[in-house]
Amino acid sequence: MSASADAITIDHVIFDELREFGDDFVAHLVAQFGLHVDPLLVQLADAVNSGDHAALAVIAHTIRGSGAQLGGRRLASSCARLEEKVTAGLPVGQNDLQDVAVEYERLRSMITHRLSILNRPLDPASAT
Amino acid sequence: MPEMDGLEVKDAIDDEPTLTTRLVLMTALGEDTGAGAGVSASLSKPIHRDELWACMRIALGLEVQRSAEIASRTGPTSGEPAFGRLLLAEDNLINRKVAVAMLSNAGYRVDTVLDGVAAVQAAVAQPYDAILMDCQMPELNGYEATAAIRAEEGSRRHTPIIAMTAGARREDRELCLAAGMDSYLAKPVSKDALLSLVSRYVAIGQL
Repeated sequence: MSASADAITIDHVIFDELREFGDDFVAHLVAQFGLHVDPLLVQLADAVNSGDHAALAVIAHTIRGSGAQLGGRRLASSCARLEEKVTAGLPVGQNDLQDVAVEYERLRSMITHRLSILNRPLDPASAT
Repeated sequence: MPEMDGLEVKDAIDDEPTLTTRLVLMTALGEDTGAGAGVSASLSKPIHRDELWACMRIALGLEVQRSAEIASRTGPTSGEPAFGRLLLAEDNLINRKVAVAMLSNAGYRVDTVLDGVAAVQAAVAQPYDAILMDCQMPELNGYEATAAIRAEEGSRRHTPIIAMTAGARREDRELCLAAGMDSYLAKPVSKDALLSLVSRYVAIGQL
């Protein structure tokens, strides 16, 4: 992942604010985020398949809120697009679902990766 | 609970002279069970680790209880709140955890509820220095909950209510103000914006 793609995916101002409370807190949030959003993605797919637009809007809104608070810019955008489609009465399909799922996974792995880099002990050889 | 609720269990234990079990009552926020006798201590949900620990010490007689109830709150665990007592009405787990971290770290005591009905109940049960209100919640949304709180307060009181919403349009702000909210905070919430707004309204409310 390039630095520019990373910057688009994560709002670093928000992410760095979270880190003020400790990386353990951020790691806990990411774990909670997974537990919270995984079942929502299943519900989102069900809502798309059944054409339940009211449920679609509510679920997309919830994922957007959670993702945005972790700095997930692209995830929030993909959810917002889905919400807008629902509001406009446009059909929501598998591509929209895929967008949300991909951005969700990207955000989680990026945050986890960043935390692992930030917490990696300094190599004594490189410190000299 | 099914079959027997907590108070029925307490009564059954009270009626059994061979049992000397100490009881800790866990209640919903703001719920008054009237179950003082026979209860060693009580906790309001959601329960936090420090409060559970303190409550267990009280129940086991290792510490004297400072008040009738150890309420569910975060922030400083002894004495008066450093800055003020807040109610956070937010159904989104992540947003709730982040807002609580920001506010409690700044010294506020924060009670949390997950829907509009609970927000109204909590605001009626206990005065707050300010309320942070998510707009889209189950049961009652933030606009409806605010209207209910304002109706309950009448002219006796005006608790500052700050909306928190993902809607960034001017119409969203107007909706909040029309419902009786005092101000508006866009999500995702940033720490500086949140603390700045809360401190301003808590100060106004405490004048």
